[in-house]
Amino acid sequence: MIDSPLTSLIQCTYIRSDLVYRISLLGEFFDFIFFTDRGPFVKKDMVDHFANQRKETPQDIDFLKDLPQSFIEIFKRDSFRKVLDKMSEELQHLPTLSITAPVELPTEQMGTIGKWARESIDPNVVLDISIDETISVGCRFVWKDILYDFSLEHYFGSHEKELYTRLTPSTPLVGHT
Amino acid sequence: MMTLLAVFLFLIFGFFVLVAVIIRLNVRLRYITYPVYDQIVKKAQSKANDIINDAQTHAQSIRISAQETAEKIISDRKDENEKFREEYTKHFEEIVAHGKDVLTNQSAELTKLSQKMVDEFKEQSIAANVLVHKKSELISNTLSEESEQIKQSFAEMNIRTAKEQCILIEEIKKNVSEEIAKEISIARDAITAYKKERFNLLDREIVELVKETARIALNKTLSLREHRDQILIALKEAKQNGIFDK
Repeated sequence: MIDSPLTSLIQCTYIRSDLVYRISLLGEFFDFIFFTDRGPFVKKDMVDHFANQRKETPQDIDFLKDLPQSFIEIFKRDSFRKVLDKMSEELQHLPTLSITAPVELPTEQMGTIGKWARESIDPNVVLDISIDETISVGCRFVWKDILYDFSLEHYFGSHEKELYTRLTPSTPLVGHT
Repeated sequence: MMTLLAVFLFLIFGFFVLVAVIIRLNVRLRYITYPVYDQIVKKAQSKANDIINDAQTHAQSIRISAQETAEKIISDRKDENEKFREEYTKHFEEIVAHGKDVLTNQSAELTKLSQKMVDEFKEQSIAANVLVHKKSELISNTLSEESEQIKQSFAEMNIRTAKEQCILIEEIKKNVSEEIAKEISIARDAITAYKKERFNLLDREIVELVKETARIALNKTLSLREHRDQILIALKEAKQNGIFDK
């Protein structure tokens, strides 16, 4: 995947759903640029025009503005759709770490987890996030189709004897001999 | 051609004339035949009436003759019945008189015979009474001896029975107390086991309660940053265990 535009995209995006969203955002951006008489080439100042026309969120504007010119120049009027389709296809083959968290974490917090995953697991790994309140603390994750439980249940299970020992003999019960 | 036409016209005319004549004749025929028909009917009617009158007269005469014959038969039968009744009564009285004589004779003989039998029975019963009296004296003597023996043996049996009863009661008391002790011990063991099981259950429930409380408390009290840190700790532990190297 060296020199693929997807490589540049995943450098600032860690979550799969965000990647899918940003690929579709790029599609809308290039549609706007190439098919509203802005010319055959994309320049960075055209992002403001796009933002004003479409009332995008600040995060989306920042993302588009932060894209390097070299990345943008890859996309031409008659080939940008093919490039985006290829990026979507390549995304399916990226290694995925599916994490089930107890609460919904904001993007910055997920970014920290994503960075650690890229450094410690795989430089191209993407995260797939789901929420399950019953986990309470920690997480469950799926790596290479195997589920691993590191939730509160897991910690209860690994310290069960200690829990029982600490709770039961010292608990004052009437009539317990 | 003209001739044929004239013949044809003549034929048609003739046909119509014929039809008119027939119709007229019919009317006249009916007019003529109606009184004839009427006369024939009247004749037939009078003949029929004559036949009916004859038949009625004949029937009446037959009835009168039948009635006379029946009355005669009835009166003959009545006479016969009367005769028969008189003879029957006469015979019946003869039979009754004869029967009375026979009964009188028979009853006299029966009285004699029964008197004889009664006398014999009296003699027999006197003899039997004497015998019975003798026997009863003998029996009462024997009975009194026997009853004395029976009383004695009952007394001995009573004493023996009382002894055995005492022994049996003692044995039963001993068995019952052993059984009761056994049951008490079983009940105690059951209670102990139940207590132990209940306390184990309580202990488990306490632990589950504490776990549930921890789940709820941790979920609500941890900040997002702390949750993130816990996720990172979990991932790091997984890495240490070599999960991501597989």
